[in-house]
Amino acid sequence: MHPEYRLWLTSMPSTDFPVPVLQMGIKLTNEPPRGLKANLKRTYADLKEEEYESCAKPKEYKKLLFALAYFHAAILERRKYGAIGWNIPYEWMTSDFDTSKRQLLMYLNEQEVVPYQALNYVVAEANYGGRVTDDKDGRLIKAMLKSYFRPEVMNDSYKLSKLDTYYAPPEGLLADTRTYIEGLPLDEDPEVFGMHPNANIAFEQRIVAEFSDTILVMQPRVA
Amino acid sequence: MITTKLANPHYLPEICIKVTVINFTVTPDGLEDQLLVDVVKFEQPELEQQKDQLVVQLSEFKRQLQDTEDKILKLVSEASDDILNDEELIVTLDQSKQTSIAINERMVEAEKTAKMINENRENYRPVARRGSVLYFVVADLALIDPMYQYSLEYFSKLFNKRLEKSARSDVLEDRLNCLLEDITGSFYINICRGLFERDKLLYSFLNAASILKRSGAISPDEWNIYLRGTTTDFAGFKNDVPYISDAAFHKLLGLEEAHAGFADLSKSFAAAADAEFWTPMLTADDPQALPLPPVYADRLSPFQQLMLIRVLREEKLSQGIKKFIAAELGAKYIESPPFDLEGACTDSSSGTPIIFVLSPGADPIANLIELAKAKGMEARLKTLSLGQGQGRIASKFVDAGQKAGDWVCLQNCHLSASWMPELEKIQE
Repeated sequence: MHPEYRLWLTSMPSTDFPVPVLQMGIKLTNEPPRGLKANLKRTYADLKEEEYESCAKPKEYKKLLFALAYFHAAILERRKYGAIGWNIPYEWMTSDFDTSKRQLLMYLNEQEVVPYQALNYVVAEANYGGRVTDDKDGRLIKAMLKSYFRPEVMNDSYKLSKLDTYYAPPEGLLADTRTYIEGLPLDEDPEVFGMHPNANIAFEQRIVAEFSDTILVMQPRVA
Repeated sequence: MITTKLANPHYLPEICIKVTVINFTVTPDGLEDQLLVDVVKFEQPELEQQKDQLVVQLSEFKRQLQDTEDKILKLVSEASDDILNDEELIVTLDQSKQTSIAINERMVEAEKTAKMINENRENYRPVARRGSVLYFVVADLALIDPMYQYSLEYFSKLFNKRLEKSARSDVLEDRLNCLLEDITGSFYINICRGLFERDKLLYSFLNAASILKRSGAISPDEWNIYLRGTTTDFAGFKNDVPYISDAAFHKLLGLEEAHAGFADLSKSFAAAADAEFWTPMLTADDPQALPLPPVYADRLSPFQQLMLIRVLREEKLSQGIKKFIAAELGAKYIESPPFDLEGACTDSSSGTPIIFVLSPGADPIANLIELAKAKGMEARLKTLSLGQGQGRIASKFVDAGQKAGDWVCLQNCHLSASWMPELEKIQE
């Protein structure tokens, strides 16, 4: 066997997958991390410096890129509230973000003024919206993006939610934005999503119940 | 002879009466001893060597004694009627007596050395015990998800690697602490990368709880009441605390039963001075961060405080668990380690496949292509999506890849259940 040979496998959890291969292999999961902060952090960790500085309109690009990352994190995180968040738990992927990011760069480079309306349409209705099948969810996702993709976001004092914590940081280096994200709270307030704090109770109860049930299942059975 | 990898194989009664089942499953104590050998072998190789020699020596002595005894018995049984005149017998008897005295003396000596060696070895037991506890947590993970499979071999390889890589010290105590810390930490990072987000906190919690259970800091009673609640019927007891429900009151009585630390808990709730501490806990957003009445703040362990949160504010248990883990193991055990594809790639080899366990919405291929670019393997990365009839092509890919040193990526193995046994053969 050639020493440089590597076998990479991808699989959903499956009982058909041979146990010996699992046991000798290195297993990796690649999930969007939990929480708004972790999600933003991951997005910005994956960004490359040259990509971040590649736009002819740096301020507009950086501001809108943050708004896009925030939008991505927010719609994903909303899913944790179950039916209170979305009627259907959609499986948005990093590829939706990547596509939107590329289009954002392209639109900004090609057009003289920022085409907010076109950007809103492409991101909320074509890219992410393409997965949305419920019309109320469709309305929500459009409304959410509209509050992030708008001229006011260029203003450093414009907040992305009712809270003071979240805003598109002033134009600067990639490292500055990363530092800003590092300072965000670990657990976010449901207000971030425009939801009542009570939404959290149902979510917490579900998580705790799952957690405790799993531990019970793992206990040895005593006859 | 039949062997199976099933932990608890089920056979029909007709078969059961015809076969003898031998269970080679490792036990916590057995693994602990096995790991102790590993640790001592690494830390003080001469000690382990000495011990091995002694074992050989001792059994040699025992054999010699047995031989002499046999010889005497043989001579006696074959002796003529007049034993006293049997010169040979008398001489042999005399000789053997001397040998046995000499051997006995040496045995006493050897046993003393053995005792000393054992005492020395025992110093390293905490490390072996930690390893054994961690392994059994990992082994139990398979109960949650079919992909969480870790073999003992994988585990002990990692364990031995940490013995080598962790920081040294000439002071035994420092070295032991360092080993405990390093082993627990590296296992956390290594195992976590293959767990789903929802299970990472669970894994961390089980680690902390199992370590404390093994050391006796969490008693079986406490653990049981934490998990299942009390089984005693407190229906007859009157609730004299106006601000909590009867059910909650009964749970408090249950805690009093679980551990002496909770003594008089229900009375404390009724007392006005303590109630000032308890009432905010019932409504606050972060009950785990609030102070307890001084008596209990001093007396209750982090786990007992968690039991209290579970009884009073079950929906806030996640925060309580995070606090408990941070207090017992350290804050780094409550944050997920970052996704580290490059690290996984470094740890892999031609015989160790890397398996991406997918979840809805996750697509690791972009990351893989990026890594391949960085490693200059882009042109030699061969990807194939499995599915109906792709098995034969996959086998060809793997064959060619093994010879040429390509990176072969087979996607969506779950769609090709029928080809999976083939995959097992290929990787062997």
